[in-house]
Amino acid sequence: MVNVTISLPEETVKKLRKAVRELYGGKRGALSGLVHEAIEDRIDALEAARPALRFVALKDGLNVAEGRSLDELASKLRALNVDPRAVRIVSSQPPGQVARAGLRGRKT
Amino acid sequence: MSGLLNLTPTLRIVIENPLLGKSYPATGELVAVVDTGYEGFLAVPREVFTSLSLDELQQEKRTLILANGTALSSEGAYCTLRVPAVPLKADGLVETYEGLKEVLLGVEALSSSKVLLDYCSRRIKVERCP
Repeated sequence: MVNVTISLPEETVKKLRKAVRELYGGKRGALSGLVHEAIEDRIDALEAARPALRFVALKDGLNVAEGRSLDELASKLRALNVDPRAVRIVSSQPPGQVARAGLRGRKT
Repeated sequence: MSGLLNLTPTLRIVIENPLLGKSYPATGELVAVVDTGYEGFLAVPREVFTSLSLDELQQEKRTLILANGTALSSEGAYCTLRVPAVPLKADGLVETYEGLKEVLLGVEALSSSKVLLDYCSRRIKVERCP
């Protein structure tokens, strides 16, 4: 193990010590264990790649407008005076042609 | 964040169609069932789909496979999902198919979130990814 000196707001340290007392009963090494776990979780989350989503409005196969969100795309279509009903909206991450419906899915 | 109904995880959500300025429900929130076996974003009954005027947009069609192996056709259009309590906002394909009676939240809708199912306190906790 390596000792690292870090600075934290007093309030955070209070909350941290309280959580350690409540979760682990103040056992030796519990504070380091909780900080270690929190840092690992944060690093895992940062490393998980989430590609940026984009939405494109197509008319007759041509790109009319695109946006990083549907809100942005809607604003652009309004500015261009294009009726959303007249375009096909596609996503940069298109849904699969076949997908599982899950246990709640049912057919009458 | 939201609760469990008979041990089934649920979230209170709002669905928006920013392209046509529609929202469902018009006020408040609706209860969606979290179905981790559903690979899509959001599935809604036909009446919800129509209320959002999604039937007026060009449809994306695909096949959904039920748990018993039966295939069915779905149609959908892109919408915005909001979970006000998180808060979480995500865009994705909202689809509908014959016979669906409840709103199902699939894994794609939760793909940018941390979801904690806590059966000890009968709660589901959702946080956005950092």
